[in-house]
Amino acid sequence: MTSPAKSSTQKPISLKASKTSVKKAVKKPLKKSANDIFAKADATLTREYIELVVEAMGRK
Amino acid sequence: MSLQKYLFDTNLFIERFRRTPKVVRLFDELSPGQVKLSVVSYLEFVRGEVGAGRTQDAKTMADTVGSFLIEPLTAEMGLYAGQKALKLKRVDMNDLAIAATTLKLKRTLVTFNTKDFVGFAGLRLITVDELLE
Repeated sequence: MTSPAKSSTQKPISLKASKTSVKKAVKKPLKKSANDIFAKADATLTREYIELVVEAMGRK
Repeated sequence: MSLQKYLFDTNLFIERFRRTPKVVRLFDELSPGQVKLSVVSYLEFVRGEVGAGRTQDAKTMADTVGSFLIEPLTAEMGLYAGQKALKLKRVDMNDLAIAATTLKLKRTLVTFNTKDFVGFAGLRLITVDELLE
């Protein structure tokens, strides 16, 4: 039995892409918490900078 | 936790940036769509970051709070805050505007500083501790 001839429009990469999508979908958390919005701030801001901003806001 | 009827005061976000454990715990129980703040709180962070020397490209704290749902200040809210300022002889317009927003939207304000909002008849306040109970 011979395998069907591949059409010139076939794109093997699309199969790989869909596998990747499934993998990403499985890993994706079901719920995003409000804390996730602070991820960049938590990773980059120093305590000194935060206190400087709070002082400039006129808050304690 | 259903928080559709709440508005979060500026100090809640300050304490979250400071990573105060009970605020981190509270925010962990909320989806981003449940956190609402006044545009006045957002502007306070912008003012703070400009004052601290930040530029348009690096205003992380303002951008962070700006990612949540921001309630506008309407003319009605502004007029109410102005009348209260005259009556209570207060010049801290930020707190007055946040109180007016909470009242006009019929929400409850989540705050650490309940004493900042004395004199507002009908204003409902709740602390983080009460909310986490």
